[in-house]
Order: sequence, then structure tokens, then C-alpha cells
Amino acid sequence: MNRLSTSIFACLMAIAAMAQINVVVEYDVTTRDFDSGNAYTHKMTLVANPAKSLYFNKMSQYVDSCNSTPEGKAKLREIQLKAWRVVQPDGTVTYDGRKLGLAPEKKHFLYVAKESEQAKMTVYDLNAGELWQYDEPFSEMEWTIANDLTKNILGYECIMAQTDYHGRKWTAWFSPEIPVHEGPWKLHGLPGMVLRAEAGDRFIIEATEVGSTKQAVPAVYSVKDYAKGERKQILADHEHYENNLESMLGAQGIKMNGDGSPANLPEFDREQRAWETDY
Amino acid sequence: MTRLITYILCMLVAAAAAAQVDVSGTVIDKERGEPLTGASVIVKGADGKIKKFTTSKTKGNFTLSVPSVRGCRLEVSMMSFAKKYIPLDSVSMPLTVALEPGNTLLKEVTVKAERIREQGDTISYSVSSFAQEQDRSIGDVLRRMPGINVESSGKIQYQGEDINKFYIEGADLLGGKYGIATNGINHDDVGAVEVMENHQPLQVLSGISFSDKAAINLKLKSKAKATWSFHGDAGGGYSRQPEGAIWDGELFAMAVMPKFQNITTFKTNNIGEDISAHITDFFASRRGTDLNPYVSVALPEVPGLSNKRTLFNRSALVSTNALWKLGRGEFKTQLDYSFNRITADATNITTYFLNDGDRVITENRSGVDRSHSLAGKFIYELNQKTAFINNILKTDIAWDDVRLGITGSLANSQAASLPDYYVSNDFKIIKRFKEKHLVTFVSKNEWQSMPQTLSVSADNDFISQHIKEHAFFTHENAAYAFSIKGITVSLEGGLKGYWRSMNSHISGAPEITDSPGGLTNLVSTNYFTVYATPKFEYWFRRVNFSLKAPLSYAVYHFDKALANRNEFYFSPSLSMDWKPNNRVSTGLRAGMGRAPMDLSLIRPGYIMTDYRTFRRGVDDFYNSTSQNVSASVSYKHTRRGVFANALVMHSWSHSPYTLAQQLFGDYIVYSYSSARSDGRMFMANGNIGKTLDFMRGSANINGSFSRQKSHLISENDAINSVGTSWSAGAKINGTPLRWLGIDYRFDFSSTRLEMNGTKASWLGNMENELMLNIMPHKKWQWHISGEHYRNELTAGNYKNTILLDTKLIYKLDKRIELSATLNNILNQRTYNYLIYNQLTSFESKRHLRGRELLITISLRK
Repeated sequence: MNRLSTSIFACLMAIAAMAQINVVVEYDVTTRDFDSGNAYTHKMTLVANPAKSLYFNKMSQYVDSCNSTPEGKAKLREIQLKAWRVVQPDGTVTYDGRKLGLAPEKKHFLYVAKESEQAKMTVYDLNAGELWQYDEPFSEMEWTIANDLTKNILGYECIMAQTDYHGRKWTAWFSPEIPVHEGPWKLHGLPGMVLRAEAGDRFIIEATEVGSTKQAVPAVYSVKDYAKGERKQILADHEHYENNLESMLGAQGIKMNGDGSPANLPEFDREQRAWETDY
Repeated sequence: MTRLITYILCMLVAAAAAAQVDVSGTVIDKERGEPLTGASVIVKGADGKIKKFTTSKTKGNFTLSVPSVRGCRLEVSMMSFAKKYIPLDSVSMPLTVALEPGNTLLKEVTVKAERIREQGDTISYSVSSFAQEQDRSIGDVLRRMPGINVESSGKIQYQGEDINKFYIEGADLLGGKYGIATNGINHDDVGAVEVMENHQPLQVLSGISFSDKAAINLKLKSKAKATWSFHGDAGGGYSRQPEGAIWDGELFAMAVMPKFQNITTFKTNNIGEDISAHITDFFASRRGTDLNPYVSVALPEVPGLSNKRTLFNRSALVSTNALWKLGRGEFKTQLDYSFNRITADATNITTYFLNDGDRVITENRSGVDRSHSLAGKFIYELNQKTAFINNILKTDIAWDDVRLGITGSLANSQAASLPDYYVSNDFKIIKRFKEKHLVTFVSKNEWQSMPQTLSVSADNDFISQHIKEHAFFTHENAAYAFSIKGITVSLEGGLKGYWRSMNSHISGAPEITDSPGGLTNLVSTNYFTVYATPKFEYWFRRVNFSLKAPLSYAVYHFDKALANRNEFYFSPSLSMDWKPNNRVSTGLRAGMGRAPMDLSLIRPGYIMTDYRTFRRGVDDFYNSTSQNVSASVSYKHTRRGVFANALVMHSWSHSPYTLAQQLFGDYIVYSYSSARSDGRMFMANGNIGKTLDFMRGSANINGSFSRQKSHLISENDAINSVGTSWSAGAKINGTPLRWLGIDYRFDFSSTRLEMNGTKASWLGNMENELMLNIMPHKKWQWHISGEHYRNELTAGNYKNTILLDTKLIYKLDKRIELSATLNNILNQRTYNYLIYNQLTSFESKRHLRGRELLITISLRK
């Protein structure tokens, strides 16, 4: 018995040794609107190895993974039913059947899947109210390393680098101590892991935790649901959608103001809100 | 010379070439001897700075060019291997870099979504950045914040869902009446709006039950805290109809202190604004006692026109809401009083279609409705992690006195008194044991009483009717859900008890008593029900199947007047939704079932509902059955801005009794005959919309069709009546210029009535409305609007009405705003219309509010 368990243990150790170790970095992503002073922070995760990586929101990925199989869907439904046990203000507990089919927890739709061998990334996101995907070659990001500027983040010595990328100047802090040439969002191609990146004060991505895992780099689920498109067209469509939301609702017979007067929503401020401004 | 230059050039090129040193090699796993792909390869200079970097390719190979390797070193690293340093001064290329397994410095983590968060994100919006010139209340600003929608009543939705709590500085002062705050609080007093997503208001349920609703919290500016703040509007003017002075005023006071909060409002007007909507409780549930007045001496109304055209009112309301923090609990009182006096005048011509020729009744009606309503709500709440206690004692008392005088073929005067007394107590305690175990006790009890009197005096006759009705209702319920093999089952069940008694008597009734049924009712209807609503759901690819199977068992008890009944009800419904892609979604639904009758129909004797209508119910308990099928489809193409949807529905209903109408002299008597009655309804509608980008606007067209077959008995003859109607409409709106907004609407509808195969002619109504909004300057705004109605009174006979309004607004500064409104510029004083009922046609001439000028000043502290 003892020998059996020893050999099982040895086997497991061997499997573990063979398994690819992936780096996991948790990030806080903060976007800020200076005119209004509003700041929004949400969590994103990067799982990376030298061959590939995925940048995603864990809750969204969980919802998507559940929805990709009937059993998962049922499981999610069970969880959601708990969620839909709506507590009315008077304390009574009811289910709200109208919400079946919705996944209220999927709020951050972005996935960035990078593949070193093909030197390209695929971006999956909700743009203009619809799910879209597009490919982008690695070659569009050229870094300048400022060797003299260093910063300690989470105990890692990080070096500063800069790039002009798709209309914004990005400053990144990467750590060669984590030997994967990766980073959050679309950032990649520095000799180490990017632990902080910022485009001015409007977009800040900062690592909150670094770890490793033997779990594989997760897949993007239900890829078929994302229509294929071209980056600039998708981003331009999104701006058009945001700028015409009121008339889009109007075309569906919905008025934003009860008295029928125009709501005059502010224009989509590309400089403030778009991560990429070169479209 | 040329050769010299060539030589120098060659030297330079060679020197340049010589200056670039290739660093190349292969990275391998020392233990296995296999190449390693993706290792980080960095060349660092003598100063330790990064000079060049790459990663090892598929066969472990790498190549780098550096100007010089003097003092440089190569660093090769990879996860799970020890980092290797190679000085480049005295090595020969290509290198073989053998990495030895090493410890990863990184601690191991699991990539897994956290448990569903009970408390979602809180987003804080700064009010000043969203506020615009024209905004006044906080509701105006909220409307502009992303994801938030505010209705004119002040009701708030976040991401399309009603919010579940509205807090001011973290305290829930107003409950469901928060419309007072949305429409009342000055946006200038609010610093930030916090949207709390997935807000679970009951702390005891945190970690067990999750709420997907959001709550809103207003963070006040310090200047608005710990003091009373006031603001108000005052408007006065003159109207041509009703001739005389008009007014519109409002006063709002608020105090927000650490242990005490109060909001008090006072409103009054006679400009046709129904202010009772301002104290609507958005969280109110339907009363379980379910009593409705039998008497309906309603003042004439004008359907299809807004109150501001037709309401001749004098209204006032006071609402005061206070909250005290007591230790760990809160005590709240909400008191509302409102008064409404409404007058209305109309001329009606009613034609009853009878087989022996039509009967026409002409009348002029003139009436006054005075109503008072006093509502009090007293709430105690203890909201802790281990226990939640909530007790709501509610009393609603309303008096509604209507006097209506009629001249014409049946001259009389009616007086109705319709008080309504309601008391309810909801008690709930939730106690939490050992983290996950909850013990919940809920007791909901309601009592309602509606004594109604109606007296009619005509010539020498005097008829009077007294009705006494009261009911007590109690309800308990629970819910549970689980999943087996891909099918989710959820169960909801509970108990209901109901006791109701009604007695009525008519004295001095006219000679209709030869028909069956007396003038007295003495009825008692009680029941006890146990119910469960299981629901099954299944997903297959992109199709969702859902089956609902509500079951209930009820015991009905009628206090010996009728035999007791034990009934079992089962009403299954099935639905299927299919979304082939993101643009199209379709749905099919079907259902059938049995339902108990409306218990208030059990009354063998007559009840007088107005001066010439007597209604008798049945002296039996019965059930009705129904079936329905429907299909729907919707399409959206966001990039093109195209949106469309369509719905088709067909339903059938069957009841063992048929409504019968009979005329006795000038009186109409409704009763139920023991004859099977089948009804059928078909309905279809559709809508297509497109954005108009060139003017930041949109256009819509819509259409609908319906056909309703029903079965009635009139003057002992069976009548099959078929009502058919269709409508079509179009809308266009946009902002073609920064200073100009346009909104145009067109609607046409047509109806036809068919009785026993005899078709009346189609009658059509047309409406046009145009609104222009001109903003020449930040301080000035000018609204102009026009409405045109074209109503077909009889075939080919049309009545046109045109109404024009305008309003000019001037903002003097942040504290003072002036406006002048001129309504009904053309001074149209009447509005005529025609409605077809199943057995009647009804032509009416109504009064409109005439031309009126109102000048308003708004002030805020």
C-alpha cells in the first residue's frame, strides 16, 4: 500500500514537473474621467506563458465557461436563481422570472488572447452593443526602454519603457525577474512582465498580485458568438453607437426623457474615453 | 581618387559591420537535453542596463546583434528554471545555454472566479459634472448619468431595472415614495450620486441571498447638511376657461442631520396637474383584500388627451416624512394628506343598438368630485448581520364624494359617497444561526372596509343604496430552487386565507323587480388556498424551454348561502425562446388553465352602479377556462441603426355564464344567464425603427390589428359581436441644428363593430403632433407645440381640433428662473369624440381648458 501510494505520488510529481507553469497577474484597471472626476476600477487577470496568454475578467470568464455547456448552463442557472431571489424592499423574497437568460455578472467583456508563434493577438469585446473579434499583429508596438528609471512594484524591481501605441503614449513598468515577455491588455514585447502601465492619468493598470499556476491558459468560450471585424472599423462603429444612442433608442420607440425633449447626451469624448484613438 | 574613396568606404562599411556582434545560441533543458522555447534572453551591458533582448524560438535558438560585447553578459531565464548568467567577453558563438530546473519564486495561486459578490461595485458620479443649465431637481441630473433612467413621476431605473432602495446620506427616509426626492431635491445640494450595484438591503441575507437590484445614495454637500433647506416655485395667471385666476405653487423643505431626517413638501395648483402622482409609492404591492367600488359615478373624462387639457381641478397636498435613528434601529413615519376637487361637464349621446330599432339617450352631465386622502405609514426596522426585524403599520383612509347632476332625457341628480378604510400590518423577522441557516417568519395581514352609498333623485323619485363590504386577507409564502441533470426546478409555495362579507340594499328602486333577483344582497365569500408554482427549465443549444405548472388547492366557504366547494387548479404554460444569432430572437408561448370566478360576482340581488344601471351577479360559484398561443420575433442591427419587432397572439376564453343586457324603461339591467359564453381574441402588432444620423434622430413606423369575438345576450337575443380595429403610426424626431429640436408624431386608427353579421361602417381617428424646441441662448429656451385631431363622428363626418401651446423660459441666474406659458393659444373650448362599445355607441362633447397664461417664478435657497 505504502509502495503504491509512493509510486502514485512519484507519477503525480512527474506530471506536475511536465506541466507548463503559467504566470498569473491580477490587475486593477482604473479609468478616470477628468472633466467629471469620476473614476471606475475593475479587476482583470492575465494568465501567461512564453507561447500564449489570455487577459480577461474572471467573473466574465466564469459566466462564459458555464454558458458554453448545457450542464454548465444549468449550474449557472442554479447559482443565478439564488441570485434572482430578489429581496423586495418590504422584505418579501421573490424570483424575478424576466431575468432568466441574462448573466448579470458579466460586466467586462474584453478578452485579449496573444500567441507568440503567430506574433498576433485576437481581441474579443462588446463594441457598439454587439460582440466582435479582430486580429492584430504584434509588430504595431515598439518600445523604448528607459534603463535608468526603476520602480519597485509588489517587491519586483521594474524598469520603465515607453511606446506610442494607437494614438496614446503608454508608459509601462516591467520586471525582468518574471521572465515572460507579456503584459496586461494588449501590452507585450518587453523583456519581462509588465506590472504597471499608464496612459497619462486616464488609464492605469496596476498589478495587485503575482503568482504562478499549473492551470492551462484559459480559452475564450463561444468564439462563434463574436463576429469577425477590423479594428478601426469596430472602434469607429462603437463611437458612432455611443454618439447616436438616443436616436438608436428612438428607433426602437424608446424616449430617454419622459416629456419627449431631447436628452442631449454628451458626445463620446474619444480623447477621454477611447483606449485607442487612431481610428 | 575614386579608388581611394571606394577604399575608405569599404573600410567604413567593414568597420561598421565589425561593430555589430551577433550573439546567438540555443537554450536547452539541461536534464532532458531538449530545446526550450520562449526563454527570456537579455544582453546587459557592463552598467547592468538592458542592451538587447529576445526570446528563444521553436528550436530553442536565439539571435541578437549588439554593437559590442565588451563587459556584457547574457541573462537567460525561464519559469521553473534557474536563471543563467553568461559573461560574453570570452565565449564563442553559437552558445548552448543549458538551464537547470529551479524554484519559481512565484507562489502558486488558483485562477478561479470569486464567489458571486453579494455587494457589487459602487460607482460614484459627481453631480456638478453632469448638471446642465436647464436642470433643477436631482432627477434632471440623474437622467443624464449613464445607465440611469428617471420617469416623470421620479421613479428611477438603473440598467433597465427599478432600483430597490433610495438613500439620502445612507438613510432610507422615503421608502417607495422617493419620487418626492427625485423631483424635489435641488441638484445644487447634492455633491455625488452613488450607485450601489447588487445591493442587498437586508444585512442578514448577505452571503445567502443576493440581490441584482441597484440602490442609489445621495451624498449631500456639507452646506445642505445639518440645516433646513428650502426652495419653491410660485406661478400665477389667467385662464379663459375656467374663467378666472390660475395658480401653481410648490414648497419643498429638507433637513438631513446625523440622527434625524425630514422631507416635507406642499403643492397646490388649479392648472390641470394631477399632483397625487407625486406621492405614489413605487414599492407598493397590490392589496390582498381586493375590494373595488361597485358604484361608479364617474365624472366625464376625455380619453386620449392629457390632463392639462381636460382636468378642471383645485388640488393640494402635504407630505411629511421623518426618520429617527434609535440605537441600532430606525423609526420612520410617513404622513400624506391630499385634497382634490374636480369639476367636469359633458354632453353625451348614447345609442343602444337593439333589434327593434336603436334607442338614443341624450344627457348633459355636470359634476363635482371632492376627495380627501390621508395615509400614514409607521415603520420600525432593525437591520443587523444576525437579525432583521421589520414592522410596517399602514393606514389609508380616503373619502370620495361625487355629485353629478344630469339634465336631458333622464334628469336626475346623483350623490355618491365612497369612503375606503384600509389597515395593514406586515411583520417580518429573519434570524440567522450558524452562518448559513435562516429562520424566517412573515405575517402579512390586511383589513379593508368600503361602505358605499349612492342616492339618486329624479322628479319625485328617490332611490338610495347602501353597501357594506369588508375583507380580511392573510398570506404566507416561501421559495426554493434546485437543479437535476441540466433541468432547473424552482418551487414557490404558500398559503392564503380570505374572509369577505358584503351586504347591500336598494330602497325606492324602480319597477325592475319583476326580473329575478331582489334588491338585497347578503353574501359571504371565504377561502383557504394552498399553492405551489413549480417551474422547469431546459436549454438545448440556443433554445430555452420553460414549463411553468402552477398548482393550487382551494376550499371555498359561502356561509351556507351556497354549497362549499373544494377546487383544484392547474394552469400549465410552456415557452420556447430561440436566438439563432445576436441580431434575431424569436419566442413561442402557449398556455391553458382554469381559474376561479371573480368572487364579487356572487350576488343574486341587484346593485345600482349609477342612476340608470343595475347589475346582478350569479348565485353560484363557477370556474372559467382559457387557452392562449403567441409568437414574437425581434431584429436589431445596431451598426445600421435598424430595429424591428412583431407579435401575434390568439386567445380563447370560456365561461358557463353569459353577460345579458336588458332595458327596463330607461334603466339598463345587466345580469348573467346560465349559457355558455365563448370569446376569441386575435391581435398582431409590429414596429420598425431606423436612426437618422444626419440629424441625430430617428424614425419609426408601427401598425397593429385586433379582432375580438364575444358572445352576449341583449333583450333575450343571443348576439355575436365582433370588434375589429387597426392602427398605423409614424414618428420622426431629431436635432438638425444645435439650437433646434424637432419631434413629429402621426397616428391613425380605425374601428368597426359587427353584430350578428351586420357590419357598421369603419370609423377613423387621426392625430398629428409637432413639437419644436428652440434654444437660441444658454439663458433662453422656447418650446412651441401643436396638436391636430381629426375624428370621424359618423361615417364621412369629421371633427377637426387644433391645439397650440408655447412656453418661454429665462434663467436669470442659478437661483431664479422665470417662465411664461401660454396654453391653448387658439382657445379651443370643446372636444368631441365617439366610442363604440359592444352594444352601444357613445358620442360625447367635452370641455377643454381654454387659453391660459401662467407666469412662474422659481426660487431656491
